[in-house]
Amino acid sequence: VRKLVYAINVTLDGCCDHTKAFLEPRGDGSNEGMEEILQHYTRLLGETDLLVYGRKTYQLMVPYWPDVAKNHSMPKAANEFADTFDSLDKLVFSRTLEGAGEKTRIVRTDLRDEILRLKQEPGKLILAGGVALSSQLIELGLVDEYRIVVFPSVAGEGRRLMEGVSLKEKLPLQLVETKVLKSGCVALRYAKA
Amino acid sequence: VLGRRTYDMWSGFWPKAPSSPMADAINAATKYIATHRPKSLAWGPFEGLGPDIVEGIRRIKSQNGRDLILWGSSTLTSTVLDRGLADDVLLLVYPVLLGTGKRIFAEGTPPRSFELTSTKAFPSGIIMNSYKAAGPLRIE
Repeated sequence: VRKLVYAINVTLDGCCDHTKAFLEPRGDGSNEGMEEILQHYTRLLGETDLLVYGRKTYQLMVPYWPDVAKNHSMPKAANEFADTFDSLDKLVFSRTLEGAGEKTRIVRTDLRDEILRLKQEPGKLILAGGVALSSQLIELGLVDEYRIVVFPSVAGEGRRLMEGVSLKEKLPLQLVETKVLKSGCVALRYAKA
Repeated sequence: VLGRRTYDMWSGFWPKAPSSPMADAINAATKYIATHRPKSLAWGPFEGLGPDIVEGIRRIKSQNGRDLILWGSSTLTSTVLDRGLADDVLLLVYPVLLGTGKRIFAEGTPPRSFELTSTKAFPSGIIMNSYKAAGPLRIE
């Protein structure tokens, strides 16, 4: 039996738009803070053997990261993230996506059944990201762990985590771990209570 | 330092609350209130912030004394952050998913960055993060 983990970056005001949760680069263009974030996620990918996305998030990640993996065109931390990302199996839930990259399976229907079946298989973590599909996974009660990185900024606008998610009742969580990154990001890990 | 709505909620609760270190401290502290109707304030000690709230807070900050705490008061909080009046921001994160409810930092709050100064996890799973205001956020 394996766990389904949901990972997301949010700002202090709960915005989870990938263009808003970021750290400013230094004057010389270097960005140790974002490198540390990538290292954090590379470690998480190391515990994972299946990535689960909706179409939008999948298309944000692919072909972007596989291209980085091929060309090693970015700083070391990003190239290492890309290599690990590229090596993993992916599952995309989409009614419209016609083709997908390597190691990717497209699933059209029955999100719940598919995830329940995959959870029964032996293996490492199943990792979900993005917002739309993950909101459904949360509503269906399928998420076993939440790994939330809180960025030290207020976005002021943009889509917020849990926006539009309708829970039958409030969902208590158990805090498992907090980790402070040098940039002031706080990595939180919660399990379903 | 309280907005009028939080003051009205608190004044219905704390004066009647059983004695405890927290209740006693809140009841004894001077409440500085953002309000257009200072005449209707009853739970003291209190002082209105005056017609210009920002000026009122600046005036109190310039005086000698202990730290000011702005608590709850989401409308007033936006103003205080926008005008750079908050030196420290303490955020408590509760281990629960709600899905709906009132948000801190209203839509349209100007982008802003903070510096994390400390973080503490309590046995209950509540996390207290302390930040210092670090100015506006430059969007890439």
